[in-house]
Amino acid sequence: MTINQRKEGDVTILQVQGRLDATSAPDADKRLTALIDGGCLRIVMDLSGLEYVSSAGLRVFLSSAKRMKQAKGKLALASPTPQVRQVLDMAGFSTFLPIFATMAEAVGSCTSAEVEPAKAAPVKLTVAEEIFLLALDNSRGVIKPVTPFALDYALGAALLMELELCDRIDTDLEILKVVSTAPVGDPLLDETLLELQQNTEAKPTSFWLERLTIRTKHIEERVLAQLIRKGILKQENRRILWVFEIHRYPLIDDREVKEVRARLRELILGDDIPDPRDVVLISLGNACRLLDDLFTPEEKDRVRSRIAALARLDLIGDELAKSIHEIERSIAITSIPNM
Amino acid sequence: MDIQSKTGNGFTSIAIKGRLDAVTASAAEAAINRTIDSGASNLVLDLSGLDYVSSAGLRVLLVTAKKLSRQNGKIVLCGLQNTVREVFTISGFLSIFPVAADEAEAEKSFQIK
Repeated sequence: MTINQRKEGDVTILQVQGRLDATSAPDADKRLTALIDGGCLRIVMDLSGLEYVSSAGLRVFLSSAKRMKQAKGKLALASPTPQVRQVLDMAGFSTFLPIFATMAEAVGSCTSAEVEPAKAAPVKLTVAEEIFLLALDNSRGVIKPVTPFALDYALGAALLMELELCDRIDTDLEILKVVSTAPVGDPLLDETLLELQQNTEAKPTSFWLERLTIRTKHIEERVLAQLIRKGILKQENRRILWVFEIHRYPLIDDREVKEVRARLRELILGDDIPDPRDVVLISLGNACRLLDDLFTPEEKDRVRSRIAALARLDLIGDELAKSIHEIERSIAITSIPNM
Repeated sequence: MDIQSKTGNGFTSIAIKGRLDAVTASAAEAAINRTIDSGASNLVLDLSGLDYVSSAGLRVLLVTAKKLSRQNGKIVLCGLQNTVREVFTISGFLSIFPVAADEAEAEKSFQIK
């Protein structure tokens, strides 16, 4: 691997060539660390000559991005080859590190960027990830008890809703249809999109909710894995004397959770018109009865009708609520003899 | 989809005809945004010619309503056909959007403060 350095205006350009792997990563890391610590706060890495990147190489990008963020500077990647781009996307790097197709765009973004008191860019989370965080019991590090299958349904619905927000699918009262097959860049969403495409006949939203829920255990694990990869959660296996192994998810810090909780709380207590993404979260949170915890008992009565009104605004959310009510009803019926 | 706007007395009326779905949503949003950006803050959406609305269409309306409320503006819907009204009822949009029978009635809602 070689790194050539040059300047364009006040942007430092590092042209990386060859392979960035365990062998070359320590050198690359030292080089970047020295630059950032030395005050180079606008760096573009030209990846057009990078043939290969391994996970050791990815860690260099990760630690540099982190270092740069702390220094309140700007780091961007430019013109990766399709192979490298694929690795970056699969590892979810595009969510915290800007990646540009051309050098001009990358340099432009670093030039125009406010470098000084830069606001920390929030990690971009998917709807499914936000719901997972909302379902997490922070103090105990486990998923809160919800209606059986409710979270499974909600995560499936979250994938559909996100695809809808990205204009890949569209729904009405009868059917769900794929309107664009262009990948979104998130592995879980793209797999779901692929699955939706494979059915030639348009099916109702409820059909897909059922279908996705069948494999949701798998989705839940993947969402957790993504949250770990994004540095939101970390996992410690704890074996306890029980039939099942319980996973605890202690939070590294609860900034992201606060973000979704505080945002929803504010919106629900106020009378603002929500944006579509917030509608989706309220709809999912309400269907799983996860919103109650956001309010004091006094507030709860006050916000009940507002939550109900906001939760209805999404058609997929309506289908989800129906499915979960169905489950709750059947549970209520079967538990009557015990009363 | 066909979209036409005209200026009325203290409001701008936008008539959306045909289908408002994923295919047409971005064009509709762009047209509505142009109207808002040119200074209109009171909008009447005449939906009497709208045959179909999907989730993507509902999102356009939600985003528009949010945008207008930030500018202290207002949006009133009028002329809803039965199929469209059903979608609005089920999705609860009728509870956040003022709805008038026609443009004349919509106009009145801007005068009552």
